[in-house]
Amino acid sequence: MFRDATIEEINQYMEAAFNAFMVYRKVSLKQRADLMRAIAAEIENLGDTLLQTAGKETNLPEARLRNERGRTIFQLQSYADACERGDWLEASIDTADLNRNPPKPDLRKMLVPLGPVVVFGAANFPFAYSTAGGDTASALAAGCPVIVKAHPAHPATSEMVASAISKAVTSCKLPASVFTHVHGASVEVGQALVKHPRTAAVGFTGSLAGGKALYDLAVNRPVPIPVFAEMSSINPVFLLPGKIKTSAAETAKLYAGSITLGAGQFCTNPGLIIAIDDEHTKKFLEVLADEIRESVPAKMLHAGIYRNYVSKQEQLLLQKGVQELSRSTFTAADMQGTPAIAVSDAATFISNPVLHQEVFGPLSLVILCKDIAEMEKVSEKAEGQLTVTVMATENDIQQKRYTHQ
Amino acid sequence: MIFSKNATLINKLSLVCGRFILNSVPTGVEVCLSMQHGGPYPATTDSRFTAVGAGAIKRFARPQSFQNWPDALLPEELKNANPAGVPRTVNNNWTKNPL
Repeated sequence: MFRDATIEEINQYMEAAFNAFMVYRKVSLKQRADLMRAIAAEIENLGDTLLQTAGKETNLPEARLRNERGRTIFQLQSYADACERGDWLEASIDTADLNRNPPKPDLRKMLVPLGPVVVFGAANFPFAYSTAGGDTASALAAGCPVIVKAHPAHPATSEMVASAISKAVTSCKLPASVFTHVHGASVEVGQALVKHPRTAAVGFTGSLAGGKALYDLAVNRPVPIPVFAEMSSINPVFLLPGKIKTSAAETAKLYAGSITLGAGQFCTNPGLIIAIDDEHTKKFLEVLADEIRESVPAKMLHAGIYRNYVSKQEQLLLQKGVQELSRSTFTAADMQGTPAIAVSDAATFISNPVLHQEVFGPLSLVILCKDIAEMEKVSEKAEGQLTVTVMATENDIQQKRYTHQ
Repeated sequence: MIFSKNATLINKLSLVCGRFILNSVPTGVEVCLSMQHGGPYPATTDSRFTAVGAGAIKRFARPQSFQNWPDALLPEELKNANPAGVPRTVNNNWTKNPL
C-alpha cells in the first residue's frame, strides 16, 4: 500500500530539507510556536477517523488512543509555549570592557538549531512518539526541519498525521520541506537517511538492537552526528523490608496494575522487582500472583512484538533457577500477551545476563535476596535505566545524624 | 555528617537512572519541564538529555557565540533591546530587561 522511498528521492528530500533549514532557522520563536499550534489544531481536525485508522493498525483500544492524541496535542502546545518563553536558549551576554588590559570583547551566546533532523517513530506510541510526537515537536521548536520515517507498523496513521503537519506548514507560509514524510519498511531507507550528509541529528525510540545500529552508523559517518535513541529499560523496583512489612498487599496490587498497563508495552514498564526473602515478601508474592492470574490478556501492538514477547518469556522461564510464579488464567487469543510473573534468587540473577534483558510485555521478574547486602550486589548488575523505584517507609531510608568522635 | 539507613544501596541506585522514584510506579510519564525521560546507556545513547518535556528541545540545538557583532546583525534573542523578551544572563545576572 505504501512504497518505500528510493535513494534518489531521499537525496532530493534531504537537499530540499537543507534549503528549508536556511529559511526556517531564521524565523522567530513566535512563528515556530505558531506552526506547532497549527499542527496541533490540524491533528484535532482529523477527528475520530484518525483514531479508527490507528486502532486498526496498532490494536490499541480507542480510549487509550484518544488519551494519547490528547497527550500529543498537549506536547505540541506546551513545547510551543516553551519555545516562545525562550529559557531553553540559555542566552547570555557579556558586554565589552575596552578599558581592561587586555580589552574584553563583547560576547553573546545562545543555542542555535543543528539542521535537518531525521525522526524514527515508535511502534508503541502511534501519536505521542511518532510522526507528530515528542521528537518532531522538539526539533521544530529548536528551528530544525524534520524528516519522519513512518513506522512500518502504522503507516496509514503516520500518513494521516503527516498530511495534517504539511497542511499546517502551508497555512503558516513556511517552506514545504520544513516537514517531510517517507515510508521505509526496509532497513535501507533508515540507513540512507542517517548516512545522508545533510542529516544533522537523529531521534529514535525503539529496540536496543535498532537504536544501537543507527548510533553506530551515525558515529562511523565521515562526519559523525548525534543520535538520541531511547531504547531499553527494565525499570527495577526495590522493595525495602519496612515497606513490605506494612503494605505487602497494597504494593502487590499497585504493581500488578503497573506491570499489565497497556499490555506492558511502555518503556517505563517495571520488569524487575527486588525484595528480601521473608514472610512479608511471601505475602506480597501471593497477592501479586493472584492479581496476575485474574488479569485479562490484551492484544499486543503487532505480530513482531507479540512473537518477541512469547519467545523472550519462554527463554527466561527456561533458565536454571528461574520459576514461574503465576500467569493469567485467561486463554490468550490472537496476538494477546499473557501476563506472567517469574521468580529467581540473587545468585542466579548475578551470574546469568539473560535475566538482565528487557522482556517487552506484561512480565516481571522478582529477585529474592537474603539481605540488603545482597540487594546491593543485584543493584550493581543493573544497567542504565530510565527509572529506578524504591518502595520504602520513612524508617527504611530515614536520615540519621552521626557526630564524629 | 548525615547518613541515611540503606544509604549505600540508595547511593548506588542513583547512579544508574534518569528518574528516581519513591513509593510510586514508573509507568505514567508526565509531560513537564522537570521530567527526565532518559538515562545512562542502554536506556538511551545520551544520558544528558530528556525525550519528554520541553527540555527535549535542547537535543536539537548547539551553543554558538557571537563576538563583536553590531546590534542590528545579532539574532533577535541577543539584541540589546531584547525584542524577543527571553530570559538572559547579562554580565552574570539573570534578567529579561534590555541592556
